[in-house]
Amino acid sequence: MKLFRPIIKLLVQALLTMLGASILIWALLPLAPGDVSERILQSRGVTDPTPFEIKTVRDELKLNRPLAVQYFEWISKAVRGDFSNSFQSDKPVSNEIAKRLPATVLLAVVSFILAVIISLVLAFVSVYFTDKFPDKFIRFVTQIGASIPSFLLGLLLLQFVVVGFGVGKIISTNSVADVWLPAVCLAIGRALDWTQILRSNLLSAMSAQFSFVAEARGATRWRILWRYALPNSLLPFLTVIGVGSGSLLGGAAIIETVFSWNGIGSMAIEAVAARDLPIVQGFVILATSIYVSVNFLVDILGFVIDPRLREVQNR
Amino acid sequence: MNVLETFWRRNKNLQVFATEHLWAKLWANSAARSGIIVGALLIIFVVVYPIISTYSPNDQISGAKLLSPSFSNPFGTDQFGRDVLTRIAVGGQRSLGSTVFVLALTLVLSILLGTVCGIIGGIFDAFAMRLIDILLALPQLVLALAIVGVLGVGFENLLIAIIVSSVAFYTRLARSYVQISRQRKDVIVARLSGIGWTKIIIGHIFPQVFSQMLIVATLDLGGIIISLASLSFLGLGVQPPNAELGAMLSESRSFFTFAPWLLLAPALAIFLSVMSANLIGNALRDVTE
Repeated sequence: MKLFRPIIKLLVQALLTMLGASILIWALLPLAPGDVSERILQSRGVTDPTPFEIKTVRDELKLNRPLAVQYFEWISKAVRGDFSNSFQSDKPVSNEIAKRLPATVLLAVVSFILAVIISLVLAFVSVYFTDKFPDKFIRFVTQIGASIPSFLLGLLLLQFVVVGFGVGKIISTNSVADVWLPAVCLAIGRALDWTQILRSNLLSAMSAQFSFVAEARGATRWRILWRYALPNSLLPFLTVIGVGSGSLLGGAAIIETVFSWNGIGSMAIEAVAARDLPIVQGFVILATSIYVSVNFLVDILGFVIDPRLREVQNR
Repeated sequence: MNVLETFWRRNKNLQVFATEHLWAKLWANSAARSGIIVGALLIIFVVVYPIISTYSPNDQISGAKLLSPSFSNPFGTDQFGRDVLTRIAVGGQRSLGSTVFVLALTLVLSILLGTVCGIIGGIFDAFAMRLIDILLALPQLVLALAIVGVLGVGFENLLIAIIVSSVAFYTRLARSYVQISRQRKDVIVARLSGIGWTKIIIGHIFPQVFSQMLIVATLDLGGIIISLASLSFLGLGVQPPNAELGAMLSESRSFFTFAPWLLLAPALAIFLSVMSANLIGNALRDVTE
């Protein structure tokens, strides 16, 4: 099995990275300035806690034990999906995440697919008509679009599309019918980035020798683009998509707040504002594991689609 | 001889620093030219307008709420009767100033760290690189959110969060530039002639690495402006009544329908500053490539 060794290697790397990241994320709690138990009481509305109340919370959370023991207990619970209780509501963080995750998954998946489709189409049109009007127009639009932050685009769409034309809703109901506007907003930033990168990859593949030979054999421009340039640009494009999935996760937090989309992103923003660290930790660890897994999959896909990589790895 | 003087003398003939050559090339690029003009006008506006404006950014005039744009209030007033143009100037000053501050500090930290890793190498380098790998496993905005969550909401904490979340990437880049510089002939010759590392670093490695990192930082300018505005919009940065472009948008969100200038004016300011930064950054990259 040719793919076995590199995949195992990548898997070990990904797991080690997650282990390191988990230490970092766990450390958010002890690293936070001020006493943890005092802050828990404050976020529950006790402004001036007595020493007795503080001691009760400390004992409850077993904060007197060594840090290594605390980490071990935290991680062994976390891998089973238990991120302890929210400071504010004292309810399990996992319940809150489970309740709000589906909305975010819907939003992220739809906007991811939209972003891939938009960037493929734009880059193809752009390269097919290199330096003609459609190319110039697309380059102009990507330049302008890259200068509009996603939250601003969201506000403008809400104001002029929703309020102006009465399409869609200001307060989303988390349903499939309402996902389009926030998904488009979230997708556009990524799509324009990816278009620029895919365009330059396709262009350099179009001027490579194999394209020249194909042209000499009488292949049409469309066929060269589709059959020769695209497969050769796919690998760097995949890598960019993998890295871009991270900004999609972060961007989801912003877009969810703008559109009142009730997902884990807006949950994280509320928790950050209230300094409800267990919820923040739950969100960060979830986002990081998704990000690491997507990049792991991208690496494996790279081996599958590019035979040259396999050769190098197995030598 | 004075260390700084050596630094300057060596840098005079470097490409990126103040050579008329580079400026001429940038100026010849029409996109960069419009970026530079818009950027310069914006900087003059945010520096000068708060001084000459007859309004104070946080003054609430009760009889002047939600006035439409007019000669005395070119961008109207907000729901508290504050002059929007003055607040944009003050907020823009804060945004642009802190963007430059964030990038400057990120550059200094990452170049120092990158140099130490690239020169010393060994276990220290291996350890630092693994730490950076881990930091880079967290999406940047997610890391910034986590740091604000730990430190608490506030503009200083937001700046710290953005610096920490960008330093990892910059350090890795600086380290690779340092390692490339180490292989250069002038560095090898200097090494062979028995010149100490300190002098080589200051005289040969820093200037090159610095100019390359400066290009990367210029490319990142627009991104930092966006992050600051976005996180302030979410209420994690500048706190009321202080003006900041993102915070202004979130404060007056419920009034956009009656007073669209409250949306359009800050939006225009953000758009123009990000676009000018992007135009200059992209052109600088193309020109120096």
